[in-house]
Amino acid sequence: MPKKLLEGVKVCDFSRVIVGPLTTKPLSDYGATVVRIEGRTNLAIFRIQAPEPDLSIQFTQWNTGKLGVTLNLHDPRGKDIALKIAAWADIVVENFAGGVIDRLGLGYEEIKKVNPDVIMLSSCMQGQTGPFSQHPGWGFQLSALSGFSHLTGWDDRPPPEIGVYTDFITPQYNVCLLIGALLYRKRTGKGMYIDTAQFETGLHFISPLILDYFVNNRVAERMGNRSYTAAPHNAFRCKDEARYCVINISDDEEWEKFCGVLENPEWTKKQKFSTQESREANKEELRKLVEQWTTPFTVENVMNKLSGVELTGERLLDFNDRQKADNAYRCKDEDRWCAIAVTTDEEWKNFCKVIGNPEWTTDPRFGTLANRKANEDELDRLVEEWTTQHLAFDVMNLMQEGGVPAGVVETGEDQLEHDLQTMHRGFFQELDHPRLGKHHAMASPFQLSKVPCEIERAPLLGEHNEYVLKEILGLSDEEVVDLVVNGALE
Amino acid sequence: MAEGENISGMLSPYRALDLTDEKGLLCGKILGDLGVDVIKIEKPGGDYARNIGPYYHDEVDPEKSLYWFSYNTNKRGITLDIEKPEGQEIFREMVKKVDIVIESFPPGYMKKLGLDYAELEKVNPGVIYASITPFGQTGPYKDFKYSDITLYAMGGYMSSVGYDDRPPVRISHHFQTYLHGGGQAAQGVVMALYHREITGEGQHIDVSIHDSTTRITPERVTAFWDFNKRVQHRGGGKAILGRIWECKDGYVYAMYWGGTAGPRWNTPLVKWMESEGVATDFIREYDWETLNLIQTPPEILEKIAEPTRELFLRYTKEELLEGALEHNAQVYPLNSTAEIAANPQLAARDYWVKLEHPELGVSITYPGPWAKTTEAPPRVTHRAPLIGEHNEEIYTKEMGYSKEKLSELKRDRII
Repeated sequence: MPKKLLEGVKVCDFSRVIVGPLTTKPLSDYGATVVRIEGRTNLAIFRIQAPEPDLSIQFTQWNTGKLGVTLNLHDPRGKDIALKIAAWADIVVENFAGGVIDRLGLGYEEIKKVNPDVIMLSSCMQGQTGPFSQHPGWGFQLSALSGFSHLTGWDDRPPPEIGVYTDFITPQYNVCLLIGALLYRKRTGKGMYIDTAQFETGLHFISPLILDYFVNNRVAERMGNRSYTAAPHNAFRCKDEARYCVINISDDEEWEKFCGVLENPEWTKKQKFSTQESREANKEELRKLVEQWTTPFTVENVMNKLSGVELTGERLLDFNDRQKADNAYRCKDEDRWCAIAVTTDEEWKNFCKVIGNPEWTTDPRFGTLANRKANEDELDRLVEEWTTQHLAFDVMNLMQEGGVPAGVVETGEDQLEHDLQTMHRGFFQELDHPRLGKHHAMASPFQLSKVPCEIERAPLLGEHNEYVLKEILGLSDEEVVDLVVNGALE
Repeated sequence: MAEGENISGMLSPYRALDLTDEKGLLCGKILGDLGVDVIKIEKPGGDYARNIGPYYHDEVDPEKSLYWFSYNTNKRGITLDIEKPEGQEIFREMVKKVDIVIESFPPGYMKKLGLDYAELEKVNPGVIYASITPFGQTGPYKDFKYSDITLYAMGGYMSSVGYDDRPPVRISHHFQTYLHGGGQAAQGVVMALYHREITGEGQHIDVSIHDSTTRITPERVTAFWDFNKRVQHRGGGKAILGRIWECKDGYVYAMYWGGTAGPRWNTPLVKWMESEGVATDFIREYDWETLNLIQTPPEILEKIAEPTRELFLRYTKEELLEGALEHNAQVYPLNSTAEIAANPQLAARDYWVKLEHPELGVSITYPGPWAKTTEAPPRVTHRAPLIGEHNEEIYTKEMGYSKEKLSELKRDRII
């Protein structure tokens, strides 16, 4: 078994949410020892939003292979332990709002006193200096600040919400900086302090548009899915796919709740549905009535409505599962989409052939790229006449076989169940979590030929308290017990 | 630290040959900003990526592509036809003296030329060789046709963005997927450099742009399927308590939090409304812990939305940004590139750099170094190379080729 790449590299990780954890994830996945410091009295948002801290789904995604320690950093003894971990580490990472780590007494100047050649990274929203350095924020807002929101969507509508995005840009730069700093320290013996901002790294992903402003005074606007140099160039609607929700009502109490979800229509009060036996006896009729209710909603809507009153609705995954199919109710069909991009003349010829050379493709309005661009609304409508007749994956495969760039707009289901390429590369690896069970987390998008990327599940809250304090810091049993008793170790 | 006091970058001892097209340029740019001597190798006549707009003064010209400018700063540039045997010979010669090779050709192409990792490793056992391709070197989709938007679609995030009466939509325009691929490749390269410092061995790095793009999806796509068997549908714009609000001259982003996070994060905004006299009794007294964006009835959400709209409509983006700082409220404008250029925080941090373009007779403002460090800071110092700009410097001065040989190579269209 080859040695892990970063074996022996020690990381003290105060980071939270995504940017920090996604910076240290490649480090732990490639073998560094990453001690993730959390606190029960100061939990980060993903832990808070979960029903219980250890049931946070998001936390499992960004913290694979790290060791979990819970310290109260507002307690001097807790802070002291944190400083000991920082003294042990090669690298310290934090992504609090600017200034917070200094106020905790764990800033670079403090850490340098106990670890003179430490490499410390602070990665906040807008950087550690300047008027907005301490302004709190989340990745959501940075999508707005750094231009991505303004550039996303259609010019005749407000931009749609895009969620967090710079959270996935900044860590790429951070990892390069941290490993770069390790190499620099190997040569010179010097550590360093590194200050990155989501704002500043994010802007590098729209550099050409920024230059367009500076040199041409042109302000880039939204252009949907369109391109100046390709048409068709869009996500096209394909054939809708049927979805079913499995609903089991096993007693009268559940029936009552269920009727509430349905907003108690008249028919639910009928005698023939009043007991479990009568419902069973009239199940075909009942089925039709329930289905009238479910079909306007997506399966996710139905699941949400049911979980709101603690009933379970389950998506039907296997259409051959007869037993479940008996209680499966048809919901709104799911709309499916496939992106197609036709740039060259050859691709246009190939495209026309794949869709069977319908007459409109010979119309001069579509004969050249310039003409297709000029008549793009009409073009998109005509393309969709064909794509809506086919399943999304069929559209992709037919286009690919015919030499046209195309890709299904993949949903979470596609990514984990249908994408043959990510499966081939093992990008999502299966892990087993003591509280959440079997689940997937991503491995590395870059694969190194001589060292593996082996991911292990994320830690529970405080799971490695004892290991880190005793094995790494060398504290005695009594000292650890003391810390627990006085609340520094949470 | 004073300029010139420390001109060495974190990765100054290393040299890279960058053969990539638009799919991989960011990798070399990141390495170059960290001090690597990056030599961009183009085919004679220049790379295709020079034909990607927008252009300087909208003049379509391979020496005026702003895309090219953006992702080739700090690199030196030479031309070389690696499809010709003599070009391959020269390339092998160069590989002996470098640490890193980066390429983004289709899988199998470099092998056909005898320039794949297996061959170059024989010439330079320590070489680090990064291949950036749409889907990776092997697997059922490895030869798929691609475009930025098809890769973006397959990456998954698109399925969750947009309005439900319009198609799913990509984030931004201009090749986001290729940038993710380049960024991942740069991480692979620094990791491989570290590995080489410890063990002495080089290696091959296989980067998939598809995986690099898929990497952003767990946050709202994959994990929801994995744990809940739910598909996250797009639906932006319909929610009453949306996150994007109209203001006097555009839009701002502000979100309300429910649950235990609610009181902490929502109160500053309510206080701001109070100071403006738009806060209603309802919003002042509302128990934010009870807010649930899915379950809370629409009439309650509307009561929260109403004074919020009123506040934002009073002001411009710029005024709201200032107000947000004053009130410690998480309100951020949806900046355009013009507003980014005028942003006070970036100015205060000296973010922008001006690079000379002597042949255009101007200096152009660029996004500057992406980190501030106390040692060996990343730097953006030189504009992208012209076609073959460093041919003479590299072939004659550094490789010792005679002027005659250089002319011959030019005549035979090797360079």
